[in-house]
Amino acid sequence: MDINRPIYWVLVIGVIISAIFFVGSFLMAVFLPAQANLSLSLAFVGAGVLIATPYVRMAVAIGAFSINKEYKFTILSIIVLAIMMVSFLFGVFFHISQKG
Amino acid sequence: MLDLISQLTFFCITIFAGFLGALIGIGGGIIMVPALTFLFDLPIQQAIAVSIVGVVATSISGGSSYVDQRITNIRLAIFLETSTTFGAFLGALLVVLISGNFLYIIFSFFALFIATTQIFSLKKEVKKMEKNDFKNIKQDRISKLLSLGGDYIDGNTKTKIEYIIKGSPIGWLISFFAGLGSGLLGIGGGVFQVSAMNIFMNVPMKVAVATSKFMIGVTAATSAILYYVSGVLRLEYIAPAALGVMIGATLGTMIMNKLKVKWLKVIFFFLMTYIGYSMLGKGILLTFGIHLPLL
Repeated sequence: MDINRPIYWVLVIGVIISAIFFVGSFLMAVFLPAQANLSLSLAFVGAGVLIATPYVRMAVAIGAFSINKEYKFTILSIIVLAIMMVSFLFGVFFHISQKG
Repeated sequence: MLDLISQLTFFCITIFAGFLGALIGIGGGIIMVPALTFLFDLPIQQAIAVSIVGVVATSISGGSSYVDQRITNIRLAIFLETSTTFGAFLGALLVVLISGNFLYIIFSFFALFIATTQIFSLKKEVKKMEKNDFKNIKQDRISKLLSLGGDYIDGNTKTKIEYIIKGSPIGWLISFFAGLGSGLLGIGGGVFQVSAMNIFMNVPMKVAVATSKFMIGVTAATSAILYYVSGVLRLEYIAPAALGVMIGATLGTMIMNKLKVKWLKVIFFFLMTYIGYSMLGKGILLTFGIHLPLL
């Protein structure tokens, strides 16, 4: 299997879905300023989709590399996703946030 | 909420950030953060939070286009992501323990060193492309084990450039420090990532740009999710930031491969010099309380 294809599609779908929410949020803010909360909610969902995309991209890479029997890269992808998850859990439990 | 003029101004700034970021493989935080703090009076922490979501957006939109153009080396990206995510994680942990002030000075020297190396390696890179010399090197053990290498079609010279990767340990280590820097100081690791690949690992400039663009999403998302769950994101800035960088990055990816490599390196040199100087200024200000000119 060509490893580029599934990864490409994850990224494109992530961009399209989040962009739909962002366009909605942007238009609401411009044309319906009274509905500020709805505009912010759409932006919140869009940002969530956006941030989740790299996580999904790593999960898909794990699957694609194992289908290809490229086990060295399957392991490397698992390590990366594990660090991403651990970092996220540490952040949630210990309230670590980067400073400026 | 932001008024229409502010929305549009910020939108235009982020288009530029996305465009430049796609051309040289960086996140664009170096443009978005100062714009948000100086023009919109956002506190630095909130500016970084908005910018880091913008970096995720630029990475997945620009990154997808380079994957489609087959310039990105996904295997190399995953190899380097093991160290850069670990560095970013460690950096975020160390933030609470150590002061980053003097680190600005160390990173600034490294940035200025890389800027100089980029400009001096300009002729060599062009020559290597002409003679297809990127494949005539000795591969290191890790690179051999993982069969790291690849090829891409250069849109400017219309030739197929094949390359083999060397210096995997040093590249991996620099990638670690790039992650550490972005975790500790909030500066994008993109500039260091491109240089690690291009200068130390025999990766052609355009492949380094595309691969870095692809990689930075992972580090940025790891930080962004922390801001997202802690609720510090200023949501009214997110839509214009994300849409702007998506449009800018898409435009940037359309022309990057058509440009001459030397121009990419020249742009990279100027930006890197600016980044080095501003980090030096920040480090000196925080450590000694002295203001450098033009900052």
